[in-house]
Amino acid sequence: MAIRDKKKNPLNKNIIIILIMIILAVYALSLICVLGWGFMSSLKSRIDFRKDPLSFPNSEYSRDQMLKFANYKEVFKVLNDLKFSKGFYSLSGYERHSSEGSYFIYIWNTLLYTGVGCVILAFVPAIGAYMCAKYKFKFSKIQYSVYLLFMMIPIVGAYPAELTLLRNLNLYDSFWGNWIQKLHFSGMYFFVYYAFYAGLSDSYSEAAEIDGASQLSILIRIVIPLSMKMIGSVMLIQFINLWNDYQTPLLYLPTKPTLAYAVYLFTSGQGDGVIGFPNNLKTNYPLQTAACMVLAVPVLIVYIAFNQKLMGDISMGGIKG
Amino acid sequence: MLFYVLVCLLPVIQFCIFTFYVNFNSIKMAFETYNYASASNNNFGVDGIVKSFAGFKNFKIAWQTLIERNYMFKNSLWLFISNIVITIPLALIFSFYLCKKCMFSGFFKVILYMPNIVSPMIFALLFQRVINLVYPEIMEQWFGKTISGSGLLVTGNNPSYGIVLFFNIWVSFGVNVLMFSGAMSGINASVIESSHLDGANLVQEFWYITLPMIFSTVSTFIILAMAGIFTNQMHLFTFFSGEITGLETLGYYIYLTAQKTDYVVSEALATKFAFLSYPQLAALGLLLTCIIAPITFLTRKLFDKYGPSED
Repeated sequence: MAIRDKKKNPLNKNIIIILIMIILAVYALSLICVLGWGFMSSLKSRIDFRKDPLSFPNSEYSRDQMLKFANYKEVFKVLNDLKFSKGFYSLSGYERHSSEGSYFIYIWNTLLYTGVGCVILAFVPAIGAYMCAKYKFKFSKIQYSVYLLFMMIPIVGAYPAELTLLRNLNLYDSFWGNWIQKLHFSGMYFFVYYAFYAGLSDSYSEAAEIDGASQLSILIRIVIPLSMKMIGSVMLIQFINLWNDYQTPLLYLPTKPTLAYAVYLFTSGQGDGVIGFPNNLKTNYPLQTAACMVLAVPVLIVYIAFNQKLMGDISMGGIKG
Repeated sequence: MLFYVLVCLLPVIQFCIFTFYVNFNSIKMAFETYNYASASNNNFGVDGIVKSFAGFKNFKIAWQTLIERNYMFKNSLWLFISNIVITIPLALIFSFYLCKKCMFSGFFKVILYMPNIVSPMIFALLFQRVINLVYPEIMEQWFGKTISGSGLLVTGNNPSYGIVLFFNIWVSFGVNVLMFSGAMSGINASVIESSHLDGANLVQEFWYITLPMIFSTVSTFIILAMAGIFTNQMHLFTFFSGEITGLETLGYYIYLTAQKTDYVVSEALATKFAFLSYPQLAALGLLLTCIIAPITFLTRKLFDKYGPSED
């Protein structure tokens, strides 16, 4: 029925709609072509790529790359051999910290950075927004105003002070430090949740209260399940953001490489305090694109599995101060 | 009350430390200078560093950097303008298309969000290769033209700001479209139906109904873009792997400096790349905050006062 309705949509014959559709089609094509070219290149040998970067992989030159995924194996091998080192001041003075890369380490670090991070970033602002929206204390209003103010104030260049603080607390280059940095109510999604909770009927929690439920069980058993769809969407968005983020680990977790961080180093062929890059990596384009695919495929699978959820109920209403 | 306090305690303390204290410290640091404790040991020594009051010296150096490298200011500004003039309007039009559930809208929704799914780092690398290798190859194979690459390449001796700007627009629709289409789907259908009964066409519906109804969301995005003028890095770190190329935005420069330097900046980094030490960087941040904060607030006030009403 829905399909039939779509076919009958009279707007499809509107000239403006057709124009927008053409622009969108060109845009879609450009993205697909670039990604497709990247995947195709990842299955080519260096010689094959040099001969013709446009063509499909040639079995004469790229047999191993096509049939045995030789580039992908090479990527794993290089990533396994990287060594990370960074010297910095902390409470105990200047020390050099180092770690060795391995695929297991990258996955483990990514799980800690991405998995735990997205749970914190999805649940903590949700709980904060609920408290501010439903508990009408003066402090709730103050919190809302302060978060709004800090979202709007463009604070530039607080990195040095933040890095200093983390180092002084021995939280620099530590996942605990990273999680603590995320453990706050403020940010854009606080306001997304706030709008949702402000419009949520009190009847459920009132009924539970009459039945003797505590405030904590109302939060856990009623409020969170009611908003789970939205929390899930935010979690998924944050998961994707953190999965792809390499700059934060580069700055705050220099010897705790995540997969994105490692792939970034791989594609740039260099990194401060990082050793183990093979020669001529910078010009080995098929290998670089294979590394990109290693990072892209898992998140694409997650996206395909949950895209209905992601594209679900996220919207940000107006933010009134 | 106890429950409220217990739940809010930890995140509020975190916010106080990582926002209030950090920013207070940032201001304090801007007036300090750090030196190695021992003059004989001018490497990163184990005997640490000592700090002293610097007055406005750091601000002077930061201001000098801003003047000498004023192109960073321009680059940041152009990025913001492209966001306001191209990205947001296009995202609004695309969101309207998706909300009207026109042909292939489901597919386009997935595609528009794709650059947020697949890392922009990957898109940046592939984009770079396409521009540098595939485009000249296509021109040669298909049109018989040889491309020298001057003014086109995104790496090398002559990187083009326009190409990087284009890339930023190309990958930036995802979140905008997600939020705008979410806001548009919340518009009451009866309002739209009644506008159709009054004879409104598609453009009129968009201009007089949709846009005013979601203006609070749009204005929030404009404000956020404005607040981010000096922090937006324009994906330059991915393009240039931390090199100074002349295309820097202030956001990129600040991130790069924080990553490359420390309390004391080495002479090589200071002279060759004009990198600042932490206190000088804090001073630069403070200067930029003083410039952009009032502008952001003023814009917000203007939006509140003169922006279209949802009623």
